[in-house]
Amino acid sequence: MIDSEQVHDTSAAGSHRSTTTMNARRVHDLAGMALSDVPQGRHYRPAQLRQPGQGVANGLGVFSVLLGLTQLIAPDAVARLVGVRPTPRSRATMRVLGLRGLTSGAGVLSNGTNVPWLWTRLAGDVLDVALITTAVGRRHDDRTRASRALMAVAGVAAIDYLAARTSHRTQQLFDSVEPEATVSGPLEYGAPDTTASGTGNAQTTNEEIGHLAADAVAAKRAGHRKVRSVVTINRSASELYAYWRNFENLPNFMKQLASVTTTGEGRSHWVTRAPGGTQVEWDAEIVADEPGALIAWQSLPGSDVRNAGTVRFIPVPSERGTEVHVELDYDPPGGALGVAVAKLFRAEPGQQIRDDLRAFKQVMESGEILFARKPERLEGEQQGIGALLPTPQDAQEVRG
Amino acid sequence: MKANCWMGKNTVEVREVPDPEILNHRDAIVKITSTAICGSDVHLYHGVVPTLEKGDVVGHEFMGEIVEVGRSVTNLKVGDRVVVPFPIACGHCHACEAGMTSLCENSNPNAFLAERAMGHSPCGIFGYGHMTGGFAGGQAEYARVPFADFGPLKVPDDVTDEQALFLSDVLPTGYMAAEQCNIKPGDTVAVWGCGPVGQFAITSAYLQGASRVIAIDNVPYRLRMARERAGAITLNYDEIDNVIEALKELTGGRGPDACIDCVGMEASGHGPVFAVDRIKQATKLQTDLPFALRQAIMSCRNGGTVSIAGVYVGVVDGFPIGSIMNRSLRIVTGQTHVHRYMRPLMDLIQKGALDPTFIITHRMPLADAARGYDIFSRKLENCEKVVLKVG
Repeated sequence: MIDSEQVHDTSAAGSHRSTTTMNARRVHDLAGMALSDVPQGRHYRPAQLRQPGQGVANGLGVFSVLLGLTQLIAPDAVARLVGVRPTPRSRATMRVLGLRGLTSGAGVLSNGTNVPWLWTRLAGDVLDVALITTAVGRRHDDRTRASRALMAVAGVAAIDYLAARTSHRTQQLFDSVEPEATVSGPLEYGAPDTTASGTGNAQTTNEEIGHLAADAVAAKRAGHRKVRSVVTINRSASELYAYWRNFENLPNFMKQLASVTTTGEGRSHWVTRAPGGTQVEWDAEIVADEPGALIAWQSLPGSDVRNAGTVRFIPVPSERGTEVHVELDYDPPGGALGVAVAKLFRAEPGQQIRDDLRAFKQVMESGEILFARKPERLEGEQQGIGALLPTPQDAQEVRG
Repeated sequence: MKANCWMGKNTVEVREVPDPEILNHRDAIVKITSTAICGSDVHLYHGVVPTLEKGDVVGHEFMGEIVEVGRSVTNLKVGDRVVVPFPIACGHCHACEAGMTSLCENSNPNAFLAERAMGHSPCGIFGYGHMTGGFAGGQAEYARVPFADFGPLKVPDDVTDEQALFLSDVLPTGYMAAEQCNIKPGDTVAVWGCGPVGQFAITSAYLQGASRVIAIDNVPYRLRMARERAGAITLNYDEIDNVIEALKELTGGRGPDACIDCVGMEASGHGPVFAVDRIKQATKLQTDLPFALRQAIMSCRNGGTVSIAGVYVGVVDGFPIGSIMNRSLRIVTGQTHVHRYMRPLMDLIQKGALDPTFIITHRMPLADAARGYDIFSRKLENCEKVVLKVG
């Protein structure tokens, strides 16, 4: 199935290897943890840690958006609810407040526990208190309702404050961590590691914070997304490496790719199937390459979609196949707004890479990506069905 | 072609649908000669299995003749008679290599749906809803069989359709239900449910060395079949207050060594506990009725084995986990790994050691599928197993 010559090609090319040892060490960590990275008797923290306050922040974001929409659509009803007699002026104020709610809600949702957005919510609460307090003082408004509204706003303000404070502390924790501190070299299976890994003073950081730091560093870059996934495939690391290392094979299992053309010297030209039938293209180069173990690539400067990817192949002992760890970093189209919309509709950013890895597993194990039924019938109806893709044998034939 | 389609709760209809085509290189197209209605088809029919869509072709017990093969299928040729296992399995993943084909890691294109519901995904299954792939089923004139170079078993000329057909599901299912109990000579086995899987679980338990098999049901003609054809001691739960006590009486107070649930999620029963279960199911507080399973657990002797062959899809309430934990019970279950049982059971059939045809009570053309579902699901006309003849 696999052209073993590719392995030799790679090691013969070798031009990047000596210069990328440090890169390789970085990406070892960034490509996610394998069981072989976790020595016995050591605490493990997964890559996707629950961030303190994330659930509360999301809840507040949704609340903000819903209330904002209500204020825009039905300003008079909201006015009556808080004890204010509807007037043209109250209507205008209510709509401005609605816009404010929508903005800070979308901000909170798109950036999770991003602290500034949570503080904007608290600032909004203070404004609300001021506005309602003036209403309590006016005779023609319903004081009982206004007082109740005041208490409700005070309650929400308390939650906003707690969420913002929790997130602020988390952010401080992130900020205190140097990205280099998370670098760790590969460790042998089952060997208890007493010297820690990577840099000498990194033991505490590795144990206590681990990937939190790497995520925080990535999150600092606005709009930047990082997705990771892993699958175990019943094939040898060298077979899997060889198939992946020929980037022209990638569209066989990554359905968002239309084609990848290798252009020599570790460079390649990528063409995607973007929404709406348009194509997005970029050039990439290999930045780290360890035959049978690791490939890392990134888009060349000036690309429309900045992105980088790493794949690691880690043999599982006792002939249990190979763990394939993938990490992709990219700036999604549409920036932060696109992410906010995606989050609102619960489109999970990790889903695509999970589907791709499942397809890779199918191609490598069963030789094909199985269809349940004719693809046309399902188009747009159901996700998770691969496109009509050639088998590895086809890919070999095409390459001649 | 004509195919039996699920059209909504308690409605199936034989309709004209497009002929299947080869979609992957390891596919084959089978021209179906015989196909059967399974107890789990009745769960689909009742609308209690999620992710079924109107118009889906159902059926997962079928056999027939190869009429077309994809280019990677080299072990079968046009004209071969084959029986097709209901789990779709690739043959190369870790699960398949371990013989657990119903856990194939590559045959469910909708694995993400199953992962959401169950944590991880089982294999793809013919005609069994979209959570297991949404593959068209085998109650039809033709079926597309994926991974045909691994799944279908060639049927020898001296074996009839009716002898081979149940290798697709119910015979291996009953056999595995008994086998995973590790039955030892002298063991007493109790089987809940005297449908086709129950009958084969009784037969298999005897084949595997059980000295006594007790069968529990409330349908007189099914109990009669269990007694007269499978050799069980029968208990009618309509006649007794307490099944657990009755089983104690029959086993010197200890309880059966192994208890096999061949009923599944639509169990029936009596009394206030059953009424509460029905209300919970009707109000979606639970998806499955655990009445038979609960009895099997409570009845089992200390340190015994409870084997679950009946189909469950979701969650149950009032699960007696304390009885399991404190009394060292072992629970064994799973969709059947049909592939690993087909050949050995075919050998037993060829040798005359096993005749699975005794469960067949009705034979009718595919066109009458709706009537078959009606009488089988309502247990009318002494219906135990319906075989649909195609072509």
